[in-house]
Amino acid sequence: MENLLPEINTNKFIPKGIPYLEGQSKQDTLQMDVALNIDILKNNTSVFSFCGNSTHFPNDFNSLKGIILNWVNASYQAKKEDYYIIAVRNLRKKINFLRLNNDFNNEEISDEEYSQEIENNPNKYIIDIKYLSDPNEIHCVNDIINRIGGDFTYDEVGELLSIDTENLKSAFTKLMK
Amino acid sequence: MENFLERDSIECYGAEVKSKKNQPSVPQNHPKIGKCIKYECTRDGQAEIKKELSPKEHKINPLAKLNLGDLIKCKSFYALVEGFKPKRIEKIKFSGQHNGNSFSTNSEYTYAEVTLAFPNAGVLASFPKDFVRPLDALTKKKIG
Repeated sequence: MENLLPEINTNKFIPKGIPYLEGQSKQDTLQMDVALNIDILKNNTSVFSFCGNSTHFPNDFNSLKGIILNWVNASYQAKKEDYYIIAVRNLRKKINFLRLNNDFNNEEISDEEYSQEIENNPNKYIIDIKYLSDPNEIHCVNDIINRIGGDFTYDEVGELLSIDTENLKSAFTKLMK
Repeated sequence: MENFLERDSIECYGAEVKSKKNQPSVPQNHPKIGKCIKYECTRDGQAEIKKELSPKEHKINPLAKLNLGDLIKCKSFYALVEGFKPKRIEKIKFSGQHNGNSFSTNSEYTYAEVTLAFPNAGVLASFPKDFVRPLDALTKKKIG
């Protein structure tokens, strides 16, 4: 019973005050930035769940930092995975639309059939453009685009990942400052 | 007024869009204008306002040009056209001996923005409004 979680004021474990240690990579720094926007107080249980079966709260500062980094990394990867899926879906929609457009240009379908086909099958053709729900998501977007490689314009990125172009521009401008 | 620089844009209720390569990209559900189709115009092109918005207010970009006759000229740009009605793209003579494609919008909200400017866009933008190209001036003299 001595190992059970002690009554600790978790306020002091919010990663605001955690200094970046020497030798930390840029990726770690990004993860820490993302961490700032995560309300740990609301999700105390999920922080402790990373301790595994043990209910022992780590007294060691580095262990706690490791737990938080793992947690943040998991959420960061999950967000990236979401964007990958959005990108694949959007590319499929684009291919479907190009096929439809090809049929229209070859006069296999009429103007009305063209419009109706799009309106009746929004999941097949229409890309929903949204705003970034969190400004820090721009790190995910930046990471994905860098990994894909090549030159992208803002509208291409917005179209690929379903993000409003103006919103994307302002977020990237802030990132570059 | 001609606009050459990157991110220059126009918003209108009717426009004439010309470029050497002009193709629809994808239908979108845009948060500000709703259902629209995006067109990608590459290999040099221009989009000119033929019908102004009423009321004359910006919808997407607060810096967009709204006046009748305003146009963007650039290497590549994209256009968002409200609605899912298909546009018949016509073949035209674009510049010199080059062929091009053209379509026009009528009574549909249209937004066009430069994505890639001409390499000399900065110089072109700095010319005065009443500037006449030397070749044009020479041709006018010959005709006269």
